[in-house]
Amino acid sequence: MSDTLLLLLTAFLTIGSLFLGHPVALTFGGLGILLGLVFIGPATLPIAVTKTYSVMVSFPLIAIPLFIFMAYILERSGIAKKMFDGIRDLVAPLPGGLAIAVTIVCTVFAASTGIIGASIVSMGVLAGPYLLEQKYDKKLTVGTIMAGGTLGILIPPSMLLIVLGAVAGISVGQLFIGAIGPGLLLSGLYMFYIYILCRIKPSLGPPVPKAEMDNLSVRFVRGMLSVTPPVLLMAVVLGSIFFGIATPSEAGAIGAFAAIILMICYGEFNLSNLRYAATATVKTSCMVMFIIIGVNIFSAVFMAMGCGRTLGGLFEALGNKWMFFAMTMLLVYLLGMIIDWTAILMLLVPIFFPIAKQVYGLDPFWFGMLVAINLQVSFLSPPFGYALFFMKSLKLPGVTLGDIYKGAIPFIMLQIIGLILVAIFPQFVTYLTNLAFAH
Amino acid sequence: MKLLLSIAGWIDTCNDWVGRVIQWAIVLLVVVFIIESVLRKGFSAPQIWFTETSYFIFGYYILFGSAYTFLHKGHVAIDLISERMPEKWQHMLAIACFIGFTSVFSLAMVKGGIPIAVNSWKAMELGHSVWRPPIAHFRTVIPVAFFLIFLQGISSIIKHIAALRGTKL
Repeated sequence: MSDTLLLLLTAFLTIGSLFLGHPVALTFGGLGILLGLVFIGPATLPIAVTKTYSVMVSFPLIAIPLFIFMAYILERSGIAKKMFDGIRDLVAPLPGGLAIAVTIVCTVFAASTGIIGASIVSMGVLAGPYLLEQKYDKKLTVGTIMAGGTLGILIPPSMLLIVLGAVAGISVGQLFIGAIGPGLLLSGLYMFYIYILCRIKPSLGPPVPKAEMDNLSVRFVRGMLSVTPPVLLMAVVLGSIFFGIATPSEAGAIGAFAAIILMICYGEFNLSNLRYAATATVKTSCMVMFIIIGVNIFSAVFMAMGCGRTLGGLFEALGNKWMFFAMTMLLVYLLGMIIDWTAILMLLVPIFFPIAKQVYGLDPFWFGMLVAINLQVSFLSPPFGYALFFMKSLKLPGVTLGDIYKGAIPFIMLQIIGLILVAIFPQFVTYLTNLAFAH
Repeated sequence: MKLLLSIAGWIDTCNDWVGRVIQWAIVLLVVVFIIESVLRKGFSAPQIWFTETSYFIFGYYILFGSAYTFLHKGHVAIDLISERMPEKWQHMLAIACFIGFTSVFSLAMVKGGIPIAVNSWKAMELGHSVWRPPIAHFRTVIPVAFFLIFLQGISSIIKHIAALRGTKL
């Protein structure tokens, strides 16, 4: 059997199996073992155990449950709601002000679990009905919430960057710092678009009349008070990495500890809230970690079968670095619509990153950032994107699936603009990393 | 059927308790990290036990939490197609997947994990760091945790069979 045929068969078998609706982690694990037994033989079992053990002793991955714990503590403290209320008061008189407030909260709060669903559901419940009540356009409302929710995959501390760093063997701290620029760029593009759009057509996002509001100084103080604690928390987490004081895993623990202190300050600290956060954390962490374990085994077998080499060979033969760039982005985009991002990274990064670096001379941090932005695009893309399904599951009054599809499109355009800007100007990534890691 | 369902109930209770206990390990992990950070940064006294202790907590946490996550359907699945099928087919497909994927995966890990754990206990294997803690218990986590996942798979199969036969749960 020729190598390419084997690769194609394996790919079809894998995607077909995933669509059977069984948990992704267990499907990958089971399929990996079965393929291994056929193509490698009994040696598969010790390999699978060793691969699992290597996940259990991976220091960068310890950051995952720690940051997830931090996010759930913050969520349970009601900080997102307080922040949304505060910023809303501040920017409500602007055209599209409420949608801008949603974007700001999502940007600061992107500390969220890296599970896109969690950000979209919490923002959707928090802000969705309110925006619609204030006569905001349905498509703009859902588009803003979905786009804001997917920011969590890029803006640090994101789970995606942790997994990317661990698999590619590059510094997670450097990825965190590098992602700040592209993250702010995207969130800036969203706010700029919302403002201009509502300026031209105020009916889409009417400003709240000034008469209904307190005077500016009262609103300013209240807004600042609500924004400062979470911003400070993010500053501590990212600052400790930026100045080389802590590794991302340590920063995660510091962040979780600081979040508990905030919870105490807000008067929300009690056993039931702590238990809620602990239960949610164990489920989300194990979900992510088990995909890593399952795909890690699958990937080892995939490589041993020679499929990794075949796939890599096809991409090496492209010859041109922009051609390689376009084809990898297309593949990541298409897979991003159907497979969980953790699985995509675990499978493709070990194959593509060495080629990107050694054959085409691409910077792994820049390349990684583009993969992250690209995955955001695929989460928003109709008809399969994850974000769309989470939005639909919220069942906001009067919002149809068509509204959700149409609402996503302008934000997809903005993401593509962001992707192109970062691709052309690597400075968005490298400026801060050079500043922090030049020595 | 009644006996089978009570077995499934027993498995669920068991994994539920494992999860409820292990979920608190995250607090322990935060505490260990904070102690290390304070001692290292504040008193320039990095602890030799820190790295391996954090691996131990993390490893126990993610593996023993998994059967619990499975029980509470926390693992993501792509159910675009399967959810549109008639209910009877959905149950049959789920049973087939449990046999084809979950049981193969978990039993392979138990079978592959036991000899490694047994050898580690026989040799009283120690870690590679200066601290040199015994690590045989850590080698045992994989077969035990995957056995719990296997049991959880059995429980799910029983429940799907019961649903197919129209038994009330």
